Amino acid sequence: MDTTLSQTVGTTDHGHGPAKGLGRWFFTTNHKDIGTLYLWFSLLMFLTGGCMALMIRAELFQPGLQLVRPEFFNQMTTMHGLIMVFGAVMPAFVGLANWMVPMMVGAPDMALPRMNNWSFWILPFAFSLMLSTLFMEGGGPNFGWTFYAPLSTTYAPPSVTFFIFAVHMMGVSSIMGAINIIATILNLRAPGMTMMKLPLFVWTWLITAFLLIAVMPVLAGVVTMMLMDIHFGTSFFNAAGGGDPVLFQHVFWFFGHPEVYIMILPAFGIVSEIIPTFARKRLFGYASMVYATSSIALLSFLVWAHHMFAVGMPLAGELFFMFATMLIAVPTGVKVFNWVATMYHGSMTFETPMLFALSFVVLFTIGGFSGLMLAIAPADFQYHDTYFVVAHFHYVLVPGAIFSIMAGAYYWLPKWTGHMYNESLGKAHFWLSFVGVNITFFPMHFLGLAGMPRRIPDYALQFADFNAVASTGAFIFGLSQLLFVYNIISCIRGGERATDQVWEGSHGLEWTLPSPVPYHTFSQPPVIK
Amino acid sequence: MSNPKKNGLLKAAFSALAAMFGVQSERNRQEDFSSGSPLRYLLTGVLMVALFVASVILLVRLALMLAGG
Amino acid sequence: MIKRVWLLPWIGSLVSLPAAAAWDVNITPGATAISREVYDLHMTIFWICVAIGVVVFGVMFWSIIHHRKSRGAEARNFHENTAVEILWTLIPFVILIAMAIPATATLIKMYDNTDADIDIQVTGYQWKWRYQYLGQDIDFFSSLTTPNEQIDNEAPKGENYLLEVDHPLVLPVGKKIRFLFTANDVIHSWWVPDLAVKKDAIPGFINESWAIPEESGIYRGQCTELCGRGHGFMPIVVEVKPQAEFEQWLADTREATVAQAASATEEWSLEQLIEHGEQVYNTTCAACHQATGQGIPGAFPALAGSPVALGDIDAHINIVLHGKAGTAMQAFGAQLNAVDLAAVITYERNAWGNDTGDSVSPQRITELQQ
Repeated sequence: MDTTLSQTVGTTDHGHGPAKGLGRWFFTTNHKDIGTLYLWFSLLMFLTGGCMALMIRAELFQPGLQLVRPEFFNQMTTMHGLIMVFGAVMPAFVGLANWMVPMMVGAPDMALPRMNNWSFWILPFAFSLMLSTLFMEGGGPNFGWTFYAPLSTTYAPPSVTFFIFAVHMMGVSSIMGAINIIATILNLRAPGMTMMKLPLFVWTWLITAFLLIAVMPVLAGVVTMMLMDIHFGTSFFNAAGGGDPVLFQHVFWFFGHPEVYIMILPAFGIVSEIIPTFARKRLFGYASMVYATSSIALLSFLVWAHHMFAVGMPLAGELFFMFATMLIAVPTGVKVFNWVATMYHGSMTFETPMLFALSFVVLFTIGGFSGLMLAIAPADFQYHDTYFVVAHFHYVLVPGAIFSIMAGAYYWLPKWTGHMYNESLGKAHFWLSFVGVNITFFPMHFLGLAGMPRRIPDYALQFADFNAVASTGAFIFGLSQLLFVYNIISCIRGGERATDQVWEGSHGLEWTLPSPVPYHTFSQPPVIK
Repeated sequence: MSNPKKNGLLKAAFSALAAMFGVQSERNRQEDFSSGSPLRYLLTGVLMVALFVASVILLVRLALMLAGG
Repeated sequence: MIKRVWLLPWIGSLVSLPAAAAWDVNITPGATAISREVYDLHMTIFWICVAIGVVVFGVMFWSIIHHRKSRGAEARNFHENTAVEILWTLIPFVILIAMAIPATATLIKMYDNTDADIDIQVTGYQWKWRYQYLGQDIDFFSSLTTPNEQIDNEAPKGENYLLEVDHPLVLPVGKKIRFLFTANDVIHSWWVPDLAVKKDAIPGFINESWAIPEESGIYRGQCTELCGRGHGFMPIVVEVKPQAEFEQWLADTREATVAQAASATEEWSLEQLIEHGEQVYNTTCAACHQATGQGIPGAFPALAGSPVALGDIDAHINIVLHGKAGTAMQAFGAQLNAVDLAAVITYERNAWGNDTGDSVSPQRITELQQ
């Protein structure tokens, strides 16, 4: 990617900066403001979902029921999952895309700025609605974030209708965000910014956006079918009426599996930006990274039923999904090898973003290994719905998706705010998070293999020790996020001045802009040779 | 679209295969990106995915046949 | 060992932990040929992952140590190599094929449900299991027996805390058992690690699986599909016995069923009914309506002071027998015998301040069931 710049145009001041007061945030159409809103919203949801996780871990610290009753425990596991997936990880990536995609492709803003405003402002309403169900009679959703029918239809609390509406709103927001990102990338690239010169973060987001448009309507479809079953007398998922509870799982996971990649592909992009910067070396195998991302995206539509090996599919179905799932290891492996080859014979330094990116590579790969084990259908009968699965997806989502978001935040904060964050505090945050995450989630592998099912509020005595360890780790990880919040706020309020380039090895259009970036950038497109 | 080769379709299929596999030499890649319309590559890509699904299904059939199922 | 010392203060705070088996880190090789095959597959794929991990992380950490700027490393300028890329795409591919072959073979064996000696239908209920030995006239429910005091930390926890039931599933050694899974309400999943059987029990569907237990013993498992508030409280206990003992058990169980039917024609006093009813209530009804009869507002109605428990007796019996459509209230007519039903209804009409003094006889239940 030779993005040598002939000049840096586009910092011209048109004289209209941000509006004053709260109106700036309600009515803004500026991609940077909306990116900021998304990121703050995501942080708030991350802390909310985190508190729920801590409640779960506190209850599981010892055998017996100490703090909460099982019905509330189920609401916590459900809400924790929904909030982290739809409220924390996805909005954080959209926020980063809002900030960075226009700056990376040399565009003045997102292609559809008013829709951009709307797709953000739906979210606070969607999540207020969803959180309000916790205070309704019968409690909030208590059927797990996968909301399998008929537990989520015939046997659901009355608040499920509000949950369905909230999911619809989130879907609308995600689809609009995705359309906006695709329109921006395909139409607003600066002259000379060809597709194969796009930074990988942009590429991964382009593919993610297509995944979103493909599967969010499927999610909307499945919750609508639930709504019909609950209120309009249909029997999509009700066996007594001739329906099929397994149909729910097929439709859900046809959405759910690409959704998993929606939460990890942008993470690949962020890490592929950060590692070359701090290794001071070009990304190894740029083209194969793009190809591997597309392969993963395509395969993601062909493997959904590996979440359902235990539902009693025909043998041919089990084999198909087992083979297809195992194949995903190939493009994923290519990505990891490329990152390692980028580090090989580089000139590395280890600032906070790099530390998060490196631990991403190691811990995500561990999550990938357990994923490969889960793909082996006969063995999956022993792993399925145990803590082994909990360990697996937390390894790919916490030190995977979440660490990449944190890496991205530290990486671009100086560009956004014009100040360097506190490096020692950042490193302290990293090490505490790293240790906390591993103490929390590694013992869960052991628990699952030893036979502990997931989503239980109380457990047999042989699981007590590792649960106590995991809970301890969870509190270390949870509390260390306060350092992150403090570091962000103090970086916004002041600190050492950041240079325009910020990092010695930084590469790409965003680093040619001043720090902090002006409110309007690239009003005149830069020229890329 | 300057000069479509005679075996253009085969070449597009090969490129789509290389993309699915994830490796392609820089020379071939440059050639692909400078020649032909993207539509042709997109269509070949879709076709290759369908072929891929068919081949996994065949593989499953083969495994079941070997097991005497 | 170091880990253990570090954890001592935590362990100290845990109530009555049995020292054994507390640090299990792996799946069980189990008690069947299939479970051992699964264990071997698990270990093979595990060691493959370890080997790949050692190579990849090895190169990565070697680079981190040697190619760091503080050591004066200069970045080289290479960024692709077609040969290497093809190689590291092909190698994982070959490893995967090598792994897929034994996995496929095992899976095909696991799907061979033919030639079973015994067929057992396993039905999931919120929150207990029902076992029907098809063609053998044996049909019973299996519920958790761990007392609420242990769960609420008011009594020390027993050795098999949450893994104990009133009537375990009894199987003979060395016979091929075919399980037929279904469910009455929501989806459950029946898992016994030692048999390597995990299959979803789905309302309206019948799933199959099989096992040939090779050693006598007691094997424990749990429900592994979230099925509501009692999901963590519906364990599975399988008792595998030698053939002779199994036959004895069959005979005893049939006899007990006959004896129970006979007791339905006897006269029961109000006190006897209430006493027996309290037991039935606590194992069958308390999960929803709570031991206090207060229910859970918004989810499960209270029985204390409820119009059903204080109103017409036959209407009350009717709801218990046939359930209430569209709610979690099941039809207990098929689950409990006449004595249990009479006792539990009598108990509900006389407990928690419901002082109706009503007594429901088993004969009345039998009449209404006809």
